[in-house]
Amino acid sequence: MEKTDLTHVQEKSKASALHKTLGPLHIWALGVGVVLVGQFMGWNLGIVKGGSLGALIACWVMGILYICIVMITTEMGSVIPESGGQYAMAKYLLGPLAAFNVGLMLVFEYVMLEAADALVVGEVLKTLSPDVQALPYVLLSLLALTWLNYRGTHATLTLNIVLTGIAFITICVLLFSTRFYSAEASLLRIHEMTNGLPYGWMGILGAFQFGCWFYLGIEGTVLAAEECRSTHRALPVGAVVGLVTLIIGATATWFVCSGLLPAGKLAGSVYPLFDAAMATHMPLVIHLLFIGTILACLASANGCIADASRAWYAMARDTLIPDLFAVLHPKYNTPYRAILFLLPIAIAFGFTGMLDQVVTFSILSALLVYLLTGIMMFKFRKMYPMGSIKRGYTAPLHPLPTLLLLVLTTATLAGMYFGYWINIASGCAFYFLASVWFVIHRSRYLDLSSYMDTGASMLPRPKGY
Amino acid sequence: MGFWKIMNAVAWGLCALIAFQLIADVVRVETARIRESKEQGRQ
Repeated sequence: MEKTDLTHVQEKSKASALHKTLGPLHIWALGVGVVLVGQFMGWNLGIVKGGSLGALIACWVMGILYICIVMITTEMGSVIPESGGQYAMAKYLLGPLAAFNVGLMLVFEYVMLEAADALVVGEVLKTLSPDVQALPYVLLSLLALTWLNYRGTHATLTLNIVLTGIAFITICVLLFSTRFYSAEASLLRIHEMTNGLPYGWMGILGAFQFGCWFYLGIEGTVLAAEECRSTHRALPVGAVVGLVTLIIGATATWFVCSGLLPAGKLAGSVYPLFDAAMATHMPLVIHLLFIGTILACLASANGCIADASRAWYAMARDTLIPDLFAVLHPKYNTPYRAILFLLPIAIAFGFTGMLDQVVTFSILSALLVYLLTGIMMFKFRKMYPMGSIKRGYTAPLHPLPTLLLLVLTTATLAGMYFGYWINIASGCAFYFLASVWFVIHRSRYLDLSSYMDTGASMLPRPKGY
Repeated sequence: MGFWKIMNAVAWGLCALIAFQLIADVVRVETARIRESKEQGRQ
């Protein structure tokens, strides 16, 4: 009987296994691809709150926050190689209710970003001619990327390597076209164009949430842990190189935009990098940045579809939501029901028309996940002290990165409170109501034995249990 | 008819084509799944 049960579990886990095809380059593309769009738009709103210098300080301070989050999630992700990223970590470290909330927050973070990306593609195309309709291109972007994700992760992320690579090169082309390296010939006039720190330290606090735009989503690399050929190698290398790419890109973006556009104009720009390219008056650079903006949006939406569907699939597989979403495509081995279910939700969010509100809810969801990630790291190190388990990567200087993560996330939420307190209250109310639904209704269907199956077979008994 | 009006129509057409392909594949997969579970039930 025991043997039959074991065989059944093995067959079930084999049947539900995702293909292991991803290497470090794919992980880099998944992380940077989702985030690179933040360099092309959105970050400049930090100038409204904190001025030019405030936006730069926010960019670097948020860089520290994301270094911490990448180190922490990579350490835990390399030990828990299961689809769902922070969701899978919450599952084993905090329990079903926290896992349900983290999963839901991840899905909303990525679905809303996906909707925003597709809408921006439509808006950018509209600048070409008044005859261009945004709607068919928005729908086409979402449908085409959903179709790609439906047909396989490898092809999807290979496309992201190309899209992200080209978009990043366009930023480099813009940087070198300004001849920043030559004091005489440089087009950049940082001293004349920037406005310093007009609102002091409070301005910097307010700019923090927009500093997040440069990096928001890089932590999503751990969502593909289960699909890596070698999780211990691909995850740390892909995530860390991705973060370094973003910090360099973010600094170059601020430098170029702040040197080419006056602070007032830059703060109100919808496409800061594209506007900066126009200020160079070089047709080739302008065309390249137009293409770069669209490709960055497509790469971001592509990565968001992959991340959100993985989190939704993982929740369904653990019966936290109806398990009808926990089915893989018989031919492509992708979570096709989760991918298709999230498509109309992304379209619906996009067409509320409240883009800033949608994106703010996405950032709020991410920040709440970061707070829980910090708590998880403390618990992880307590349950599995150094030497008790093989780690693919070890976050150095613990508990400093975790403490920094918690302090900076709380500071960002405090800064967000000044302009978006209604969003914070509504978001918290939404997750509270979802938790009530889970505790009263859904938890009755939770199959705790299958919920812990994978972890129990892969992880040793934690210390003190 | 301007260039962009043609491109808008092409985009709508591609949307319809992709949506049709996705729906057709889902119907095929789900039908096969139902048929398979029915056969297993009979056995």
